[in-house]
Amino acid sequence: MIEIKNLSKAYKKRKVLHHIDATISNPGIYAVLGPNGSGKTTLMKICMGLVLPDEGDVYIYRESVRASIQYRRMVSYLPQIARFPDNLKVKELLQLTEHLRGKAQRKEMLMELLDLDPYMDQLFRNLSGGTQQKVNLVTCLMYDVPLYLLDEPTAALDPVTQIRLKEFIQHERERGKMVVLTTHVPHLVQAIADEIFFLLYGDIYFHGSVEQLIGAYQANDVEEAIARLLMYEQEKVKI
Amino acid sequence: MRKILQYGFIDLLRSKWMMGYGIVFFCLTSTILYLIGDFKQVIISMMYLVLYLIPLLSVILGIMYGYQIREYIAWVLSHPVSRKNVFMGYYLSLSLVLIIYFLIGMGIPFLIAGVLHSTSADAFAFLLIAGIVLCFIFSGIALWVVFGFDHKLLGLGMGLLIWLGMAVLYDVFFLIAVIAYQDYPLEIFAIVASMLNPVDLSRILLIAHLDLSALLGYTGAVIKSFFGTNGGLIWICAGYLIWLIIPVWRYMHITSKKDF
Ligand SMILES: Nc1ncnc2c1ncn2[C@@H]1O[C@H](COP(=O)(O)OP(=O)(O)OP(=O)(O)O)[C@@H](O)[C@H]1O
Ligand SMILES: [Mg+2]
Repeated sequence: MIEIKNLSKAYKKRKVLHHIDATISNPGIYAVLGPNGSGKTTLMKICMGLVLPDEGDVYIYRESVRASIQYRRMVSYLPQIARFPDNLKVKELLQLTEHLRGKAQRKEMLMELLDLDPYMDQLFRNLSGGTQQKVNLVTCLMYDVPLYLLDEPTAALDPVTQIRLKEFIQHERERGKMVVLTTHVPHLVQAIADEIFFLLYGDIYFHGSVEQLIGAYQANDVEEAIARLLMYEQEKVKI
Repeated sequence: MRKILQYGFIDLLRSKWMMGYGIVFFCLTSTILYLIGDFKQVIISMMYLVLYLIPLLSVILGIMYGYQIREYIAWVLSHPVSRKNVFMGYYLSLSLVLIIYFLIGMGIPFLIAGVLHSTSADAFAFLLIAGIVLCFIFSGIALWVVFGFDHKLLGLGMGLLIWLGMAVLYDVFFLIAVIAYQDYPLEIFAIVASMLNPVDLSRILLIAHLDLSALLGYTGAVIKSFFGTNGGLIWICAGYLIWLIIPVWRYMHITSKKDF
């Protein structure tokens, strides 16, 4: 369960989030959308205590992310860009993760799902971009926790892996998990999202289901709805 | 903190740079011992290594390691670990590994040469203590610089500047002050100024306790008369304490407020 209360964040002078309020309390898949630089990553980093808000707070399972660290046992975070200690093999990287946060429940299962076994003994930094993203996914998803924060999970993945990941995420929802993800892929949103939060100008510009978004902009699908939403905004700015 | 300490410690212990640091000390100490032989003389030469080389190498290695940590620190912090423990853990691993390689590099040749059975055993102990304290102080300074400056080159330059200031420029300014204010009592000035510079504090500690004061004439006499006493020792410990606390406190403060 996530409660965002009056959350504001600016980097130096650049306002990124402006008095945001939102609550997510039921299991499901929640998509955080918005153009580049709209603050999706910032929002997730605040939830993980990596970025400190200027105002307001986020409560995850009723714990303040400013004050507590225990809630992170129930959350697994996938960073948009994976940065791990240099010079580690994939195997060592996973061991280090387990050293930091304890034994993972389903490491082998995910290694197999993402075809990573052949890369176990290679250095992480020598892997292809997509393979690095798969390792990134394993370090996050190998923990069986109630809440996942996934920052562009399908970025750089090939289509087969994207489908497997999508099914994995849907399966997690069926198991009662809460998954919050950001993405720039409209049909992924259309296929799996239960609710959409659209960030724009530091605000939650739209919040509702996929059907509500499509209906509100009289579009045929999510892609068209987002395009119309943004075009409509540009028109408004011109006037 | 135990987890980060464990990881950072092993990571650094295996680092080629750190091993190189140990080897440098080992080679220099062995060579000087071999060439000079007399413990008293050797310890005087080693004093300069401890005073100048430890701060320099601690700062450089610390800054390089610090920027390496910065690359992936967000990933560490996204786990159920507190910032305070993570950053304290990294500070302790850095200083402990520097100290271990210093102790191995300098200690082993001396022990083999039999320093413990000589009259210089006390002086040797002071040398080790000064080295250990300087490792702690300058790893704190290094990490403070790393998280205070986002650019690696700028940080490295800053670190070198701090070293240069304490090891070289301080003496120059001191000399200028001595010449400019010949008519005033210099002892008090020297005593107060020493607080500003951990390298100078260490130098004074060593001069006062290595039986070197006679070699240094008037300055030596001044140092011995004040810093050789218990009061002087307390003064030096207080100075050390300030220098142990301030950089680490700033480093912990900066990292507690930073976005990663
Ligand atoms: N550490 C930082 N320092 C300064 N500005 C930052 C920092 N991190 C992010 N920003 C700025 O904050 C804004 C929001 O960035 P954020 O990464 O949250 O966007 P995003 O919605 O995730 O974008 P994308 O879709 O490209 O991933 C951007 O304008 C970015 O330049
Ligand atoms: Mg982003």
